[in-house]
Amino acid sequence: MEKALAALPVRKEKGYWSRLGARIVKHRAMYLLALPGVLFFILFKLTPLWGLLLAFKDYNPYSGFAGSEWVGFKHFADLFADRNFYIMLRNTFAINVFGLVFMFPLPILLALMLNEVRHGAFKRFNQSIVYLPHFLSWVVVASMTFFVLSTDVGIVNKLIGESGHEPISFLSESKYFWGLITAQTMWKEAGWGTIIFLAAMAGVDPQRYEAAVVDGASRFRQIWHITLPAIRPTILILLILRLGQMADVGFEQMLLMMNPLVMQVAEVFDTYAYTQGILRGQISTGVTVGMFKGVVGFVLVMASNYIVKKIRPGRHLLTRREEAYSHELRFAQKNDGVRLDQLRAARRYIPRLRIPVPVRVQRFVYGP
Amino acid sequence: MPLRFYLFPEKWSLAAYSYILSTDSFLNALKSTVFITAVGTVLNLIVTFSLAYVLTKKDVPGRGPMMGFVIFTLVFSAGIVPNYLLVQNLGLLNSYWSLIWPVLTNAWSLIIIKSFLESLPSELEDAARIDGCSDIGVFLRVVLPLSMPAVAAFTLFFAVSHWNTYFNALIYLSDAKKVDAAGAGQDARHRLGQRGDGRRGRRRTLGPAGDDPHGLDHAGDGADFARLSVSAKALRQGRHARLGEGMNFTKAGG
Repeated sequence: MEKALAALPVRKEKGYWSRLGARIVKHRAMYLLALPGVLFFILFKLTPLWGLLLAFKDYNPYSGFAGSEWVGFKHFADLFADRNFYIMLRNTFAINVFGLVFMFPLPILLALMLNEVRHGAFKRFNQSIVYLPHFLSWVVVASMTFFVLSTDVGIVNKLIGESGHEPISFLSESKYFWGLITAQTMWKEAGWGTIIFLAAMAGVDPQRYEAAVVDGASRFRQIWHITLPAIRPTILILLILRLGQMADVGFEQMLLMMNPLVMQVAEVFDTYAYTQGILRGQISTGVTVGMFKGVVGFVLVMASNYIVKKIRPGRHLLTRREEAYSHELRFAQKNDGVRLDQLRAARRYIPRLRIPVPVRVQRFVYGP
Repeated sequence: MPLRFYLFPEKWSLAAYSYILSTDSFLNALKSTVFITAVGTVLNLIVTFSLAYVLTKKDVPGRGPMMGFVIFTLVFSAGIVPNYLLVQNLGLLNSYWSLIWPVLTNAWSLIIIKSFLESLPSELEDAARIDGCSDIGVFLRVVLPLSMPAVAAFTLFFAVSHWNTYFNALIYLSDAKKVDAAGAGQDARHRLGQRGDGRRGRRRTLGPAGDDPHGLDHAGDGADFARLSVSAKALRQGRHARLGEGMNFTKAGG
């Protein structure tokens, strides 16, 4: 018996590397498929990161990338000493606060209204109408704004003129600018923003509404006590993720809407990087401004993502757009945050986190 | 005379259409846009779906780093100027490909398509493999036909983003013949309506190729965006000659 066993060929346990090699060979077709995409990421996403080094050099087109002189943090020091820097910081912040206050609640309101429409075809029709502006380019939106609000051809000013008042130059007065930008964003993106809330509302168990009706709840009561609590987690998460984008301002929109008369309130980091870096050829300054904005944005996104993970495990950064589109694809996750078993699973998970979430926060997110 | 509003125009007129068709610029813009949209969308779909499919395969070595980098590009990008320098160094300025290669795929689409592909039942792939289908065959004959809803949706998304491309065209293209419709629309707006509002010829105003081969001169007249004229003047004087080679203003029509 012993002998017989010893005579059997022993299958040699292969090492890590040879197993890895075998896996690579096995999946060689996969690498072929991935090749174009990987090349793209290396060339167009990884290579430009080297360009960030120019923020620490004095770029001179004649001596090129390698030949330019290292200057350390000089460009950053110059940037922070520049008065324009604080103007840009203020503008970015102000436009985002406007967006947060006026734009953020709008999709929720719109989704609540759409959700109350009982006639299916009418609801779908309205949904399509409110999505539509999302697919228009900023150039078109800016042109339309111009034809509505300008002093010479704008229809609003024609009306104002008719009623005997002085025309108002909405487009070239600083005090209207932030409001104008926010209003444009509201018009263009509010409908698109409803998708994710509608997906969340679609997950509410109809029995809840039936029970509420039996208890004599009016439509407003139903919205207040059932629909809103059901989408509260979604709202909270989107709010935190939105806070992570406080460094971002719609760049094309700003570029199209800004003009010399409103520069003081319109200049933001991206537009400054563009005018300095590309139009004026101050490459290093442009790179520095872009890098500053990129790093701040990165930190904000990571921070907001961290908070979201903390209060609601499993939901993060990637969730928002993913959900929005998958709804479009009719693969919406049916119960966004309201299915009981999901809730229980999430609740079970929370105490296991290293930093426990205060009960008060949990109650706020999930309801009592 | 009091101002009156009409639901339907009182007098129908095609004057605006004959105006935009009076030079080649609109037709050129339309041609460019259609080309970029058609070619760009097809390439987008091919690259995005094939990479997303690989990213769903947990067993493929290197998938983790690939996914990690894709997500990194989602939260951090080098910014406008480094990307411009890259396109310049690749010699893509003034080429339609400068509007296609830099946006060949993107992290959001990849992630969404990946999660879509993950929702497909893997038993179907296994069945095809048992029947002797190769990996690429599985992708082409099983996975792609099953993901037609996603293909349709992303055809729309990609096509719309190419059709609406504005900023990339603004910085990468300067030859008036190649400006796409969004850029030309912007131009038409300047030409038609902005007189008197103090905001004409803001960033870059390309005249129709026919009547003004030098977008620069056109941008220079009238009340003007101060920065533009500063940089344009500098460029004209050749102070930034080398940089200016690729720039919008110096080369337009030339």
